[in-house]
Amino acid sequence: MLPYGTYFHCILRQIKPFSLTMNTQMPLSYLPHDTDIHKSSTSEDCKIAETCCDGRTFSLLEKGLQSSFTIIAHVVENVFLTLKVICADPNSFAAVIRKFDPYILALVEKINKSPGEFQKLKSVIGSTVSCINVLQIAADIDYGVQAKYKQEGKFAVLGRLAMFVAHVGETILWFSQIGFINLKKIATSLGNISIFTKAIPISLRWVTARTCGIAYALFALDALQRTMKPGDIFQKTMAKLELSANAAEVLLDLMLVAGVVNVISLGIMAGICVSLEIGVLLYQDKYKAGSPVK
Amino acid sequence: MNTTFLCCHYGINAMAHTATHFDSLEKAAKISHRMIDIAALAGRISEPFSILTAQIKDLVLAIESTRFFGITHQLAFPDEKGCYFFQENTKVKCAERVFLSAHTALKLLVGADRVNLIKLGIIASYSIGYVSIFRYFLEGTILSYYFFGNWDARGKVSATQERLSMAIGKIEKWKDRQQTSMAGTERTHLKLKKWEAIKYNLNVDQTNAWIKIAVTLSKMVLISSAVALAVLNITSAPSLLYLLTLGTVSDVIGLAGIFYAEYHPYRRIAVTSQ
Repeated sequence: MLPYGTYFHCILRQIKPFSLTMNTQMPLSYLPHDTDIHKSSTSEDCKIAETCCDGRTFSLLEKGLQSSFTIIAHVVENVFLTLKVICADPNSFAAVIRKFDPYILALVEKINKSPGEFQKLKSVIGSTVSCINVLQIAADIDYGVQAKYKQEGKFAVLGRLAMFVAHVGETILWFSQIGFINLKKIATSLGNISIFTKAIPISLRWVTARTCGIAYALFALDALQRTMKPGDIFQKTMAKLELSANAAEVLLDLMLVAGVVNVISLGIMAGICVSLEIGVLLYQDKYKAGSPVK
Repeated sequence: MNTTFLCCHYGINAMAHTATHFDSLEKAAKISHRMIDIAALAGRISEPFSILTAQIKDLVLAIESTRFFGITHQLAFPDEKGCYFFQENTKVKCAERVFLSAHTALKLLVGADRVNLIKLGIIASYSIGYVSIFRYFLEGTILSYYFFGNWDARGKVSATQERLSMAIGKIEKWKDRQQTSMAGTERTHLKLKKWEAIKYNLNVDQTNAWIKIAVTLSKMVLISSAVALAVLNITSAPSLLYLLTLGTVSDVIGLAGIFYAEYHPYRRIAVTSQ
């Protein structure tokens, strides 16, 4: 592997002779006082010392620039790696961007004090997530047909089942929104339930969202179970990461159930969910090992 | 097994594959919205279908805009083994990937402009003929990508043909030996199995390369025609129908290629040469 610094080093080597010639023309007063050059007596010594000092300065400069370049290159690489991992497959892409539409972009709009700034972006995200949801149903059926559930724990299988129901619900809502089907009253209201004397209106959207929350809770339980099972360091870390990501999702859902409508708190919580999801994806990409995929 | 059941099984499997791979999802989305557009050209379509096609176009926009990161990461940064893309691939393949990266970068700009994150302004508005300079760059980069892709695939076909004829010769040789001598039958059988696996893999390679040639050629014709029609400002229904049909056909071939690679994986050669 060629280190990033090598590229810079090669470039610098090309310009070094030129910069040396340039720097030897500099007056001695520009150099630091503690350099050997000020202690030299003859003009010959002075010239040698000047060259040495210049070489040292150049070396320091070279090292400094090289390390800065390496840091910048690593930062750029990690940014690209993160974006690559998010955009690696529709599953992970949808998992990350679905939080942007109702929560994170609303928070940014609130901070910028410009409501409706990301209207078009929200619409694109909504369409993308809806289209991927339809195909997710096929992926869920395929999971059952191929008997992939045999390799997973009971909580993961139940979570997958709840996620399938949520995908179906979201697809029905999307079709109703487009106008393919008419849900009439079901989409808006199925009735009310009382929790601690507070009446919550129930609709198909509400049921779908809560089923999704239940699925995340089941995935969190599965991850918790895996943290307690014996396994290698990768499996343990992966289970812990998945546990935290799913727990954050459950917390966000609980906030919604509790009736939190504050854009800032929901936006921050959604941001935490997205960060943890990205963390899981990055860790999975780094070690390329199998783990239950939502 | 029942044919209907098999069809359903493969259909669900293909859809599940589409749900987990951007390449096939993009092609399936493009085919769907083009089919609806063709139906709209042929006659009136209902309102839900118009909304659906707009939403599928949004999905395509999102996919095209985000492809840049994966492609550029693969091109500019080392892989797990610490090797760069240009160290492991031919010059033609590298040129192909550079143009694809440039095209996806431009598509990212287009996507950001569409969702009002940036304003392309004068770059997108300044035009020669009826086509903006930006679109010339956009189509030029993708055309170059398909040109180099075609070149690469042709190289692969000729290289595979040579190796395939050698593999066929070897199979004939070991078959003759199997028929003539009884001694060393086990070794002969293993050798025969090995060369048959190599032949199968080469056939898969060759089919993939031919599919790539067909896709790149159809795409080159499609893009050239689209630009030519846009320059001449021809927007008649037959020309649109021609473009939509050609686009659909090329994407169907592309999707078929993806599924071919999925359902015809390389046969593992378990037998080592002795």
